[in-house]
Amino acid sequence: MRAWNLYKTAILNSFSLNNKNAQKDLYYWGNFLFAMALVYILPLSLITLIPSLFVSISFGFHAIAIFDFIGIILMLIIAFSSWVNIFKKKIIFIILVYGLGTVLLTSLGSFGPGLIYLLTASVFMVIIFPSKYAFIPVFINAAYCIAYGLIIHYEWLEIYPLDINQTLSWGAISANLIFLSTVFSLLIPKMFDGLQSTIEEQINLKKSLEKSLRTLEVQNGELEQFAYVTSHDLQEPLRNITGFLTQLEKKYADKIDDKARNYIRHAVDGAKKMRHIILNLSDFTSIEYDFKNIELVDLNLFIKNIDSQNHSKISIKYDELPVIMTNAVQLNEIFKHLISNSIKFSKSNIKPEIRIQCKELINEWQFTLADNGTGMEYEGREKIFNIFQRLHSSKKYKGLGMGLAIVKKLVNQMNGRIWADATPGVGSTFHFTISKKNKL
Amino acid sequence: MKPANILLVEDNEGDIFLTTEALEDSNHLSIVNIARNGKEALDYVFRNGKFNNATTPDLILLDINLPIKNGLEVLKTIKNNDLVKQIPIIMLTTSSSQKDINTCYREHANSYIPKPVDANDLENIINTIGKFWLNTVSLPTRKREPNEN
Repeated sequence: MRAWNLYKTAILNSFSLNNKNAQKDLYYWGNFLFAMALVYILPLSLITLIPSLFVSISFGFHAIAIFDFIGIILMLIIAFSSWVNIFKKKIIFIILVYGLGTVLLTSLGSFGPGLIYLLTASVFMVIIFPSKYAFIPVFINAAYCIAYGLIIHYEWLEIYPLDINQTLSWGAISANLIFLSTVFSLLIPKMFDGLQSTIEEQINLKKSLEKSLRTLEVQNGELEQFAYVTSHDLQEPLRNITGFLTQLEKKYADKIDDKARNYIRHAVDGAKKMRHIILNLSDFTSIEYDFKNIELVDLNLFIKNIDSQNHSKISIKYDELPVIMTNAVQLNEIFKHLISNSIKFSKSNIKPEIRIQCKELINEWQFTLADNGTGMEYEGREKIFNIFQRLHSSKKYKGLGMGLAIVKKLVNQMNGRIWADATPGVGSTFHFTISKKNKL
Repeated sequence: MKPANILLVEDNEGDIFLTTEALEDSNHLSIVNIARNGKEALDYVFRNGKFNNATTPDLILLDINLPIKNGLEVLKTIKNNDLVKQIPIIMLTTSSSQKDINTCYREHANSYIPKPVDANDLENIINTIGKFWLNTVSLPTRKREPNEN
């Protein structure tokens, strides 16, 4: 078994078919077919040629012996050598098959298997050579049959006894060869051309996808760098502004009046708000799912912990929750932002309440957080996940509008989806899924 | 009480001004030396070149974002050197990312304080640093002896 594999690999190598980077188009598979044909034909041909060689030598049939000897050498060369180019190998092979067909034709007559080998060689030619050469076998066969017909007619050479004077009969039989050869030359390219153009389309698609991916990766890298640098480089001057303004207020407290103090206060507020935005942006751009810190999380304890942290602001109710494998820190961030959102948009007259459920799907865990807040209009359902999107004016509800965008990014990083529905005046429900698979 | 010798490593002029002022205003006497980049900081600590008469700092306040050599490199170099690794280093820096915090402590920073924006907060922090590091804890001596037993 291993010897067979070594033998097969040796032949495939001589056709450069083990090259992993080769473009696997029709030309490649044509060569593959040729190589595999040789893998199986070589042993068989040697089984016939070698005995035939010895028999011919011992019986003195020198012509056949020479043909056998050359045949064996050529078969071995085209099977194993890599220094003969593939096109020449194909030609040599076809000539050998035509040679074999001719030998059979002259020794066993036109009713024998000779023409079968000629037809096989023609079909093989159509398959392993490019489509533009598809009709060349037809012309070769036509020329061959005419030549053989002339040989029969004028008895130029020694042929099979029963074929003598059978020129017309030969014409009728050989017409079959020409007919079938033409049919194959017409039909096979039609299919192959279609296949080749599909293959080329796939290859081009793959190339353009790879190019787009590379461009995107570069752009993404630049964007992240930009965000990092901006957030860091912007913070220093901002800190200078707030630092010096507050120092001014402190050191000159007795020399400035309330109006001046107010001016300073507004300036500082503006700078602080700007800093807040920068920090949020920086958080947003640096979100990356931490695949290394996956652990078993008992959601009952997890939510209980969150409940105890938010006890005064919102009442958290939950059904029996499962134990899941995930990154607890990331999940905590998601819940933190969603709960803070529910607290912010709670109704003023009743105690805020949120109900949490977790459902197991085939490949995901689906969480539902239903609150009893003010709800939102239908049109807002998707917009709220946009960065800096606020459905209400900043006077009524403080905040930057980044929380839900951060949640969406976190959920997407965990291969999940998030969506919301709500009834104005009744409450909002947030659903999100996270993938069970915790690998990149 | 002898004034403490503090090395402030910081490249932002505004921060240098405000921090130095806060140190002067605080209840704890100190002499403040400034290094404006990582290389200068190391030259000072190792008494290279123009700093060959420099006093060994009792405390180093170190920013991370510095030109030439950044704060992390300064931290690693000092904490891996037997002559000076005992000097307490307080990271006083912009970044509050947990990653940066973890890295600094892993490289043996003595503490990590994110820079405040408000002058009042700065005053409180400087007073706290002074109270803790210059009043509460005992500091190693300035004499530099490697592998003291």
